[in-house]
Amino acid sequence: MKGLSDSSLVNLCIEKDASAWSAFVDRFSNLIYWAIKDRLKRYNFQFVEQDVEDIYQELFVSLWEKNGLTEIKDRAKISSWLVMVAGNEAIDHFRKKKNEGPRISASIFQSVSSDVGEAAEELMLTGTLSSSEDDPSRIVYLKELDRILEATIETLPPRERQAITLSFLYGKKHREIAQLLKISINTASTIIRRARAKLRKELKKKGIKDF
Amino acid sequence: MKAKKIGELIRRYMMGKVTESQLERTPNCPSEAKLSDYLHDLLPKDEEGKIGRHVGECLYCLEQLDQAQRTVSAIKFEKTIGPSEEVIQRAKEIGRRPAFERFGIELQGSPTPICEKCGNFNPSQSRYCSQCGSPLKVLICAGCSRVLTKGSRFCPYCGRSVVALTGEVHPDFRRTILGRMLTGLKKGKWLIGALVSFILSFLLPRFFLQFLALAVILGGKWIFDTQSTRTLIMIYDAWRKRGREGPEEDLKRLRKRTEEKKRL
Repeated sequence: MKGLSDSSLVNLCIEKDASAWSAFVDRFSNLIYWAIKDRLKRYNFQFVEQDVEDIYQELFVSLWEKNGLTEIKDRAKISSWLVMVAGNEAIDHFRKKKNEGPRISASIFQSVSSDVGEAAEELMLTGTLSSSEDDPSRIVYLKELDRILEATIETLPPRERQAITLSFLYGKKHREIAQLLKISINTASTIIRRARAKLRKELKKKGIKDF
Repeated sequence: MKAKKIGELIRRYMMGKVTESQLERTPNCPSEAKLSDYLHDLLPKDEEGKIGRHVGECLYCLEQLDQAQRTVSAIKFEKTIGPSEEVIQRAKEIGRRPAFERFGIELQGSPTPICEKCGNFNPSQSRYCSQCGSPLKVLICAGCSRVLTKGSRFCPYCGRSVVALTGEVHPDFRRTILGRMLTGLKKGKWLIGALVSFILSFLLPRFFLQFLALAVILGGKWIFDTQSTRTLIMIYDAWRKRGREGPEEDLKRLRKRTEEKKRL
């Protein structure tokens, strides 16, 4: 069974072959385990090893009993499908738990500060920013910064906004963005370069030249 | 450095704009199978465009694609510690559980055809799935619920006879030599009877006429019992019931229909 291709193994599992199932579990256990943990970490869920094991078991039961494996069109590319299914199973498990127990924070980005002002300070926009939080000029300045960002990003066409999200929020490479948005790598690079240049230009206009 | 700074500024701004509802699954979200097909360019262009537009607005789906992409490119999972051996064994056990525990249903005495596509269990003699219409190829032993090899007369795992308690044999198992012989004998019983009577009429000259008459009767029965003769009788009956309309009328109708189809 070890030498079997992924698609042949999946086909045998669909035919309910017990030894193929055993090989399937061996082959994809680490991948599924990683996918569950990774998604739980991304969503900032507080979990213990027992939770991951429960989700892992639930997933294998549903794959076998509900014939979940029949859903995949290209069975040679089962890894990416399994990762998504495992991740979603983890989210569903915790959503159920959340409804039963106390509310758990569930956001990929909540763990990181989302304050533009703080970011600007961290990025050393010195000379223009005063250290006092109550300083009216500081508040005006930050509001202006926020307005520039909004004007630059929110007015972008949807496709370009998607590319920006993937690039800056997810830290994706241009090649990966191109694969996800079904565009060429050159187009992805141009979109991101253009957005950066536009923002830099707007900031320069307001006298911020540190970029 | 400057590019990094501006990137960080945009990132912080975008983080602030993310709402929790954007991270929730919606009824419009495509299935994992569709997203996987999208990632691997297996969808038709119009569907690809539709999913592409959705993904641009849905962080839940984007998160799935991101995770799948990270798996494909980095294969990080190989470096991580997997589940314990006990947990793996428990997952393997799922494939070995008896049918009732595994599927929550009691299998009948004969092998049960299970649909590969939708997982539906069908009555023992079924050829096509009663839920989705797909051809049934997989049979499960009623004793141990494992997949049976076509052509075998006993389950290779538990030894249970494929011929069920009800006496029913699944059509796939009739393909064995013995099965074929039994089916052949059943079908040709009248012909065999006629031949035996005919031979006996020569072997027992005292009852020559009686056996010859029996051979003629059984031969007739064989002829009228064959499928083709029965079809011919049905066609003849249908013509008779229509009264004056003969086969020529039917032929005319058929010609008319063919011409109409050609015109279309």
